[in-house]
Amino acid sequence: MTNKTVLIADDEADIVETLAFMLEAQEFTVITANDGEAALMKAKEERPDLILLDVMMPKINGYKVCRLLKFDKQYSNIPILMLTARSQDEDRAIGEETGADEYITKPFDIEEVVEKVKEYLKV
Amino acid sequence: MPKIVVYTNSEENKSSVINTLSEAGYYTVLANSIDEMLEMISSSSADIMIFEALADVKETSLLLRKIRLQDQSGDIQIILLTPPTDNIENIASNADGYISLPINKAMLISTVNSHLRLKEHLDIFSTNNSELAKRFYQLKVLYDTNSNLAGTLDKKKLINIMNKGLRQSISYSLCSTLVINNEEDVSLIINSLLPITKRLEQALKLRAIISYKSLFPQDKLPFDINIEKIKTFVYHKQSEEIYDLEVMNFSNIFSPIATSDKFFGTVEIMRDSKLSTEDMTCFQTVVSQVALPLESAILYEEIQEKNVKLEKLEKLKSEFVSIVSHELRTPLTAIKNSLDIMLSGKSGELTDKMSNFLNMGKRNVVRLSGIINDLLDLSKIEAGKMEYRFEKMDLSEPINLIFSTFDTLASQREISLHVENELQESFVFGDTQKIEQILSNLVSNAIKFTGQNGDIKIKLSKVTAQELDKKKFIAYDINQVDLSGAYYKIDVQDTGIGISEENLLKVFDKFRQIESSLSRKVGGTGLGLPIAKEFVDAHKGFIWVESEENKGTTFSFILPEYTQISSFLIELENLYQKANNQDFTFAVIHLKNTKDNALIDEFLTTDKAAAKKMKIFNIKQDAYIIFKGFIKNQLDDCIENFKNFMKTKKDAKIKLNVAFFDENLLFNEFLEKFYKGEN
Repeated sequence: MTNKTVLIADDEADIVETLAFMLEAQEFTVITANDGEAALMKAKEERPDLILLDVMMPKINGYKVCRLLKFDKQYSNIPILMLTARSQDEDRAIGEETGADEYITKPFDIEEVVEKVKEYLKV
Repeated sequence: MPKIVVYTNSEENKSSVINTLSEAGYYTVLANSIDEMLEMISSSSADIMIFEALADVKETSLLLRKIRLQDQSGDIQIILLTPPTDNIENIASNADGYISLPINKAMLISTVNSHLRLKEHLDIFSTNNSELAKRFYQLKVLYDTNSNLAGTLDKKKLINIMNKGLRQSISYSLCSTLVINNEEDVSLIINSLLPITKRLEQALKLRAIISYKSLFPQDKLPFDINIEKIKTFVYHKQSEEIYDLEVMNFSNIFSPIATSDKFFGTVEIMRDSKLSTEDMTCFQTVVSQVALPLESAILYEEIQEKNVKLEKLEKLKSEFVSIVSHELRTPLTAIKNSLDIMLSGKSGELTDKMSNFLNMGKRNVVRLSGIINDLLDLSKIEAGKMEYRFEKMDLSEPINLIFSTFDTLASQREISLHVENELQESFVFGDTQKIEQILSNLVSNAIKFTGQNGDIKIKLSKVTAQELDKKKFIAYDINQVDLSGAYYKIDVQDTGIGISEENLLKVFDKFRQIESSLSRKVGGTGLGLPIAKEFVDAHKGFIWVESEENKGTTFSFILPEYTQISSFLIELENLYQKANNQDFTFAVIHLKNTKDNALIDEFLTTDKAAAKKMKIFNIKQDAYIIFKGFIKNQLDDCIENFKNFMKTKKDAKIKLNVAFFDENLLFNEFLEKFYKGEN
């Protein structure tokens, strides 16, 4: 049906697996990355239609990845939904300009996330 | 033996004087010429000089002066033999004694005697003088040592200062100091005039240990020292010769270095010349002076270590919240996702039993999540790191949100949940998210403790300070409660099991769960209410409860009506706390008689960056501006810009005063200072 691609970037394999399962069930194509560096690379090489981005990742953290992509005209139109664990620092960061389209706090409701993805991808 | 030098012109006088004095037993020397006389005086000290006056008074005077110059010791007594004359002007006036010629034997001897006695006294006086000078020098060394000891908290320096003081005041040949920090850290510091042989070094080490052990009864040594583990440091001044074991025979004095309850080590001094009692006193004084500073130095070291640990702890505290937050919530997310996937049916068909247990799992995940949230909130509050975002907001919004959130759950339990609000508007200065949290906690508690067919009402009303009864504020110190102006009151009233009177008092305490069979089924951490109270307090509001067992409970809280002043003060106090706990500063400017914000708006067009960090409050005719979030230097620059800008406006009626955050002042002291104002 839809050939939309979603990039899931999170260093926790279990979370990647559960999200991938639900998204593939909705017939999205899923690509994954385990750290910030890989996330950036995959985003640039494969140009997904939406990115689910975790904040705490090794190598480069989620905020930096988000900023780098949003400040680059080539990729700034890709919707980015950030997954945060909602602590002090993250609250503050939310107030700053990372440019993310939305913030989803953990633990999230997986069906809700799927709904949001569908919303952003206008499906 | 006193020595007398004689010089006369005439043979008669010469022999007369010499014979008389020799008979009387004095050691007399005859000079044959003036030059010989002068030479005798300069080469060896004479006590008395007997000299016959020359014909010319002036020449005599001159010669007398020469004699004094030649005299090394400077105390020679000069007796002048003068011709018989009544005219004083004919006699040289700078002699010590006079004998009229012709020589009268008795006169000669008595004069010599009295001058010898005088000379003796002068000698004693002079010795005393040099002794005094030496003592004075020692005292000065003691004083300097004392001052220097007070000036440092470094243990090594203290020992060095002590050694220096000892060296200057006593001029030792060798000083051996044993410094014991702990059993593993023992040093022997040897300060020596000359280099020492290896075997002397070993001998000194042994000697130090033996002396140390001699200070205590055998089983009560404060430290058990292993001679192999002593670190030796040797310093010497000159190096033409070398010291060997002969040093062991020198004059010596030894002392422990200790306060009444702490032992630091020992020190011993050896000197080849005899040590006087004054030297020993000096030694004791210097050593006793160093013990107290040593104790302070050790305490200081401990405090430094503790400080470093405290700083690390503070940092850990800050990171704790973020780390725990992430570490706890991540696995919880995975669990919840897995359960949701299974419950969605997408991973396979569900039987009723599977569905039942999966839902049970999910309920508990939600419960655990709530507990983690509460714990983290509390942790933030305790660490002083809870953040608030205050803004003008209408209370009806969070009330309606919570109502819709819990509506379904209430229906499921057959509890009637409704909202009673007849106000058109209800503006407060608050943090929407926190108020939602308060309401969520109160309503979920109400639902927990209310049975089927019960009723829960959320009521919003406006009250004045007079209409409130302070006595109901049992969780507060009534004397500290200051009510003024108007408030919005929210009541969450239920028809549930109620709270007994003794439990009513503890309801806002942390980790308190009301003991009752019903409540045990309900569970929880007991953290929601204390957190709710923290949030209400931060809004400058008050929370309280009224209840009757088996009839129902009403939790109520009030929040001040939104006015510019209360919002300004709340924001200020909040910032103050924030600045105290974080790396952040702010300043407040009070502009009097500005009427409107036209000028401020003008400033903002010139400095757009500042706009983001400024918050303006208009209260009556004045404007209060908070500049926040800067690094100190940026803040100073911005304020300078603002002040300069205002100066260019030259409106005499406008007065400006500014106050900077000061971590040494309490919030009230800061406010006072701000109101008193500095222009």
